[in-house]
Amino acid sequence: MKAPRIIYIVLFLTLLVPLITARSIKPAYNVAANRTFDFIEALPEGSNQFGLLFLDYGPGTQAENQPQASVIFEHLLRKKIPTILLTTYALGEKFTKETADKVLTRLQLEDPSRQFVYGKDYVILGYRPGANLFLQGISQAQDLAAFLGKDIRAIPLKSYEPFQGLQTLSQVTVIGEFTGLVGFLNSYMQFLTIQGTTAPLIHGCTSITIPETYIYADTGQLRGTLEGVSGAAYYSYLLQERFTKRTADDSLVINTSLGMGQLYILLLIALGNIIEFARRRTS
Amino acid sequence: MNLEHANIYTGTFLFLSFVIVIYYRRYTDHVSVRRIAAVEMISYGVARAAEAGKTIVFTTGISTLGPVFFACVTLLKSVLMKAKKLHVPVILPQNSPECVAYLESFLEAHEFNESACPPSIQFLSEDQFAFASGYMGLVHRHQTETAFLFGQFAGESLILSEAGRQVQAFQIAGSVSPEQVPFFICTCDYTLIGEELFAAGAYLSGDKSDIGNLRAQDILKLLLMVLIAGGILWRLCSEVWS
Amino acid sequence: MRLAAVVTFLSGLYFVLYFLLPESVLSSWGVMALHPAITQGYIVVGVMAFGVGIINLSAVHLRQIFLGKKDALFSFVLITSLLSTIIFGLLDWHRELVLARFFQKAKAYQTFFEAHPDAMSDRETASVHALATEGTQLRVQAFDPSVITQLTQVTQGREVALHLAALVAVKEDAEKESLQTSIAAAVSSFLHEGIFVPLGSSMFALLSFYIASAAFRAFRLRSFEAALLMVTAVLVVFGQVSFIASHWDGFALIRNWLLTVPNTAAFRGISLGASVASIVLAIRVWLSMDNNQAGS
Repeated sequence: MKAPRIIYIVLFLTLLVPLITARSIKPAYNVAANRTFDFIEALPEGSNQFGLLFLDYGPGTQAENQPQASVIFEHLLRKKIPTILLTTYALGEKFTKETADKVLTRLQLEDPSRQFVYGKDYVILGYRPGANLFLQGISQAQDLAAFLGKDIRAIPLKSYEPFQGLQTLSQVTVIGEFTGLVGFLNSYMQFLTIQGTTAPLIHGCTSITIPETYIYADTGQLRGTLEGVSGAAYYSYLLQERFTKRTADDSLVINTSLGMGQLYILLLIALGNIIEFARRRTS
Repeated sequence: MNLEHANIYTGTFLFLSFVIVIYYRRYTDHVSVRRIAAVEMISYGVARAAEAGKTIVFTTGISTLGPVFFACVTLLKSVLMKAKKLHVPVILPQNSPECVAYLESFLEAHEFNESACPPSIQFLSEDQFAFASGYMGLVHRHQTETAFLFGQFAGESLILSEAGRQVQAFQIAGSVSPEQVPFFICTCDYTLIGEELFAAGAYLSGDKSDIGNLRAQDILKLLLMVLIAGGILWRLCSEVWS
Repeated sequence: MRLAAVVTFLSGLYFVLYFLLPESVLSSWGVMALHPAITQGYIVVGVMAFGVGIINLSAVHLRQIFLGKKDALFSFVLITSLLSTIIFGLLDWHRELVLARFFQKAKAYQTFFEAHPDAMSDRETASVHALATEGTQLRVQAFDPSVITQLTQVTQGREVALHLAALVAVKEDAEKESLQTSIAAAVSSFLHEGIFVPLGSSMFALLSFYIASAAFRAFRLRSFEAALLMVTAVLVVFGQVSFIASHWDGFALIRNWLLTVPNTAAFRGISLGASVASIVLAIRVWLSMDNNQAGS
């Protein structure tokens, strides 16, 4: 059997074990996730502020971006900040509803007496075409609720009472952008501005694009970052510490599995170097 | 971050860019472009494919119609000219329909369709992973000898380069996305980093206009470095004096 | 080609001037008022590309099928997938619209009868509440204001019974629609969640295997640069893996320093260079100065 096949089989088994046993361990301390949590936790509850979450991911990066979007959406719901879920990526449309359903189901199980009402606590707008032009329009809109149009049930956003007061982007206290796609973050940085300053943007990225986010986080253009599944897992851990009745979500299990995989890769690196040294000695 | 006067700074920089680009449009003085190993190996890659009697694959990744794509087209022109001389078939898998339309008119305009082995443009998919899947199949089916991966890439970069690795293809990659560079360095034979992609076309063609373009880039980068250094000094001095 | 060059130049000029000029100047020219419409126009043109793409795709592959060319089977699969996604997606969307209308009316009745508790008998109240609750369990908050206006004119007795019957009729229509198109919803869901999502996820999952084999192959101590790459990668992984980082918080801080300082510096340098090159090339293309353009 060729070496790559053996490597792949062992990796598959390594990743599978935590997923099957559903065991999880405390995630590693993540500076960026900690900062993001502090930013949202510091927001006052309710009182004419809104959250705007862009779920710009498809099936490929769903594994990393969906846990991120879920924890942020959950935190905003707990803070009683009316949140709008939408996407500027056509393939992300179904995930807006799926993410909301998953979070609400878990919250419902946690506390059946607390009802989260569609149209009061959150609204799903679905897909909006136009990408950069749409983002420009959001920044410049004088009646943002009217500009955003209708939700997935073809009901105008303005007809929902909590969102009638949404006039400009300055009332949006947190904008979440969850994507693994190239160029999206740059577009949001460029076009989402509030009166000459950058909007309060937090970014959920895949592990591949983590380095790119640091140049914006360093200058304060990004108020927070969730770095892949590990960022989402640490955020989930922080939510559990803050809200003690909260049940664990699957990001912790996925992060444990990821950790096992990374350990295996470290082992491969060590093995590769041992083989290299042995080869040099014999030659 | 205060962007109150961003439009003034941007406008000033753009105006200067205009002036410099137009001034250096036809740069006639002899300018030597720094040797880039990856670019010099492009000829070797084409020759290798000719000797093996196999195909060349040239992909621009998930680039859409824009500056990065046009930089890749400059490289493509050089590759196609060499391939035309050596009668090597070139496959151009594409991700963007606009780029397909552009390439079709580009090939026609530069008469590449009239060669013995005209290049073949294959639109695979706009979805990055469907594109990666199609690219893998294409490379395996044709047992590609040489693969050129230039442009913008995202998560599928490692999939594309590993596919070439599996068929033991000679690979040269170049990306403007710095986060993809480590993947290419691990899997490809040569890698272009950042603006080397833009310089590569000028290096290969030797065209005065392209070299003038390169010169304009260097002047603007020098200007930016002076501004950054000046800004740091200004800030330091104001901290000290206050 | 000249016309294309002129159109390219004017289109680019509009957005550059829109960004650079102050708002007061744009307002005095009337551009601010027109900009949303212009933006919508660009979006519409972009969306039209979908239609053009679908027409072109269908033409090419239908020709393959009807002429019995090589790989006609794959063309058949493509056309079938395209049509089924469009048809079942539209049916599912229509079903949601019909249900939404029912929810709206149910909410309207509930709101009215909560405000006028003496408008009906107990039995009628119970029936309306049951129907309205069924609608609002799906948590639709919005309602149609015109329905409320009608209902405020209702008095007790016959009119209430008529409105109750109307509500029941709307519910029955919604249920019929729901039954007929539940197949559409199931197929649409299967196409998305059963095929599309797993395929996309699987392709991304391939990366994990390729990273493993690339790590085994590439991270060798062959030179100083290779050693530096390997040590940095190992330190970053140490800071991220729970099993290791839990023993010492310093690993996470080292990882953060590596990403914040050297990585940011390198990233900024490369991005700056690439951005300047992009601007210069964009200017050349905008002014149609690029010799490598199609048709030049």
